[in-house]
Amino acid sequence: MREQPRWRRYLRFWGPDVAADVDDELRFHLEMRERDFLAEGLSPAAAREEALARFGDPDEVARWLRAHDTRELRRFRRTQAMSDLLQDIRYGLRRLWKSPGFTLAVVLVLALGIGATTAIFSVIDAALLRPLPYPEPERLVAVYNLGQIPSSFPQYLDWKRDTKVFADLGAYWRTTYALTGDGEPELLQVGRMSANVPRMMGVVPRVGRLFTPAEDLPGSESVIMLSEALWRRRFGGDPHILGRTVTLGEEPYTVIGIIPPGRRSIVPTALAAAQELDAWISLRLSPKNAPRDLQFLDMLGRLRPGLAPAQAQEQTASFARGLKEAVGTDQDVELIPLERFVIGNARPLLIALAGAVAMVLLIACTNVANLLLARAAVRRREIAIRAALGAARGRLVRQLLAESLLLALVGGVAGVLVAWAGVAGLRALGPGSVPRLAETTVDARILGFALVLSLCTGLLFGLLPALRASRADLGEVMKEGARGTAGGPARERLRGTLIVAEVALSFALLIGAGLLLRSLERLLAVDKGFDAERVLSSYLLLPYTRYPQGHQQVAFFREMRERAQALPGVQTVGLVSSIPLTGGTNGGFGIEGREYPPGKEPFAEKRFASPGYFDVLRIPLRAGRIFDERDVAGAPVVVVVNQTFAERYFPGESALGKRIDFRWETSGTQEIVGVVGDVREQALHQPAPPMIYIPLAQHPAEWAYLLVRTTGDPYSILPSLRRVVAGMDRNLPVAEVRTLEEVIAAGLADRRLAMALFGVFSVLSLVLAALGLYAVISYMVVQRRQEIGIRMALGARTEQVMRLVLRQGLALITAGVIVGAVAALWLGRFLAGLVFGIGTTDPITFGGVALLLAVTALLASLIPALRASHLDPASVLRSE
Amino acid sequence: MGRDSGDLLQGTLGLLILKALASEERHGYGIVRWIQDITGDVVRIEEGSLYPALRRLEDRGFVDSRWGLSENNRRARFYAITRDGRQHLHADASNWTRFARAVLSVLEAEPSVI
Repeated sequence: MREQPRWRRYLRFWGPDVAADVDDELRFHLEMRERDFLAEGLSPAAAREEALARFGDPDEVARWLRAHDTRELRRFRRTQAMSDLLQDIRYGLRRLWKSPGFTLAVVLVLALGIGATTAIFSVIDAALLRPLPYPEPERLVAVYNLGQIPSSFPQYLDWKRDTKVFADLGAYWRTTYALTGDGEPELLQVGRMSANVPRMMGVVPRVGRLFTPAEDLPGSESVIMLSEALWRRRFGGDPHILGRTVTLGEEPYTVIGIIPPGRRSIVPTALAAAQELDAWISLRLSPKNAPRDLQFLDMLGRLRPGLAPAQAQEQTASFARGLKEAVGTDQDVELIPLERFVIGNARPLLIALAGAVAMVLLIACTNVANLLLARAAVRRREIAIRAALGAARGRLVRQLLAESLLLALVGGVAGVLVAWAGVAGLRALGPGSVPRLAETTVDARILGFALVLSLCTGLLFGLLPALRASRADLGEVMKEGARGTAGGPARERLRGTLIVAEVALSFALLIGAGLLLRSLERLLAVDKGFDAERVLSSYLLLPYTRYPQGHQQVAFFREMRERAQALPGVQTVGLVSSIPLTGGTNGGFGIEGREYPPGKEPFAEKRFASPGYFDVLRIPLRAGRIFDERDVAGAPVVVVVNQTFAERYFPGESALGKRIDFRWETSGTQEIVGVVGDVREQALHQPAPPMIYIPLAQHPAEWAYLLVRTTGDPYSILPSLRRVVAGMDRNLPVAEVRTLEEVIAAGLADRRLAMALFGVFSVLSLVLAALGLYAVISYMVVQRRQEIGIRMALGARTEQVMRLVLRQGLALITAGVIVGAVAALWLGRFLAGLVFGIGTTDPITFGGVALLLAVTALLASLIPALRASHLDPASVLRSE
Repeated sequence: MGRDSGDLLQGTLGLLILKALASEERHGYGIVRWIQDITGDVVRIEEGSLYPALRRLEDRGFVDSRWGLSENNRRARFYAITRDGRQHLHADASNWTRFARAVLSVLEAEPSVI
């Protein structure tokens, strides 16, 4: 019905000052009335009085009007701003709709950039940014002896007394117990802890209760809390589980509670090793069963309110000095904020990924800025004319910005879809070393991040072109138009700079990917020292209650080995105390005839092994012999060492026949009877440590890893292997079943992930940079058509024209590669922890990447160059 | 501020204003003056209450205003009736007339007090 919104009318009268307008209007009324009364013959005083009398109270009326008009003005301004915005958006949408090619290109580039960034952000968010799930996590610290060495139980009691620092201090350790009874025996991950640990972690049982402090004491009733998963899997979710007795490590425990799954149900560990516990049992320690030289406890402390970890560290130091006098031992305690403790060494990887993905985003932004600049150049005329016709500069900038923000938002939405797929992919790749990867999801916070990112991106790539375009001077533009070129030298310089930045960023990323790829190659080529093919590993733990004697343990493992060896499909069988690449026990030892000052004594990894161990892993014998049937209990105890050991401790002489003191529940010295090849024990990237092997038969142990080399698929042997074990002891779980190839792969998982991500990012960046270069060179060719046409008309040959165009591209590429190389040299340090076997300045990587980039970039500029050389001079010159 | 004059009077004032503007655009004083002249100064409105009434009519979209020059070359705010205003005036005027007739017929009923 109304032809226009009502507020439009206000445009006509609303000046800057509402109050003055109201006063003017009322004064006019009063003066007109006065004049009429004067004309009727009243005296001036009477006229004024009469006018006022007829009017009422002008002040009150004025107050009412001012309030009313101010309110309306405000509403009007709001509405107008809204309407301008809507208009800008409509205008922007229309423009974008009209150039679908441009819009699609920009949205695609942004979707990739924003999507990659969002996916990585969601990983980092889960790992680093989301606070730990425990209550008041900033007050929690992990407490260790200096060097993250666990504490003894008496130490725990000492520190518990430091009440100036700790509001609460708990102790726990992770261990394994066999669960027996109904069904197959199963090895459980068990946390044994003081009653306050679950409380500090904020654990709330699903049913039942937590431990009481009285249950910390030895002699108290054995109570257990089960994880919900175990309860469902093993006990069928029995609703009457509370009060039931379960058998753990041959001992009865009374179930007192069920712990729900979730992050709180993981005791603080370096999260790389985080694993939900199957069962929780109470501490029940005393200095008698856990003396001071047994260091095995993790401690979790809650600091007094208001105490920063640094202050706390200082205060504990003075407490420690007091303790040293009282106890007589060193007490160098380390308080590690839980956050740092948990994230551990995953931080460099996450930071490197964040850096890489930020570069991808920057490249995407640069690319889009370039596209927008090119577009703005085309629109300069239109904008200049609109500016000349009176469009405010601010409004023009706003309009252009609205367009880029729209693009960014559409790109952001598409980016979220990319991120969704990306996160799913990451979880599928799923290396254990990225903390909390399983918890990574695209949630509201991530969506918020993507939104903010899109808006920032939109501003970043939109502002510069918008400002530039809006500054256009009509006269200049028209002159330029007449000359047939649409961009000044400044514009060209800017676009060139952007391309250089893109090439440089892409270079740095490619270097990262190259370094990681070559590191992985090197790692895979590393001589592990053993043959992992078709070897199945499992873990056996004999319950102390039924195998208390060393000879029983030895006999069990011996029979186990023989029965396994007899299975069809089994090539060789061996037993060892820990498998390669997973670390193991180490310690000092003595060498007969040598004295070492305390603290300087020789150090080696120690393993017990059955004779078959060296066969199964095909560890070569270098000198002497390996264990055989002679080496049994009662016979002289012998040891075998590895090459590193022999070379380090007996350089220039034969180690054979030398005697050492193994110091692992042994007495006297043992003769070295053999030297075997080196095996990488800790990890693929760590060289073999000196190693001593002792025969299992001469060193009884209640546990061993059973290694079986099969003729076919290693897992095909598992059922018969389980039958063998059950045939010997139906309550013995076969645990930690995996192939050695899986062990190797697990050790490489985070490098593989880093490399895969860097690879994807760098290829992405390469494509983007090539596209950007292509666009810029093509644009340049279009701009210089006339010049090229004239040159050709004057007899320039095809190669000369191509050279002219390529020279431009080459200059940009060279500059980009140089800047990128400098950046990569500097950025390389962030990858130092992931690089293996080469330096972070590896010349082959740098050279290869420079070549790859140069070839790609040249190809990208070749197409426009070819196009330029095929211009028809006549038609070009005619068209101008 | 005419708040206690009641809806009837408010409505009536609005009706008078719209009627005053129906023939031509006028400033505030012009509206008062026109009503005064037409009614021979019988209907005297409190002139101050005219302006809030104008604002309300404007808020409802019945009148429109602009700054212009008065007959004596002074800056003045002129009001004009809108299309909506005319419709409203038409409807309101017939309502009012019906109402006035009804009151009149009451007063004229036997025994007539007039």
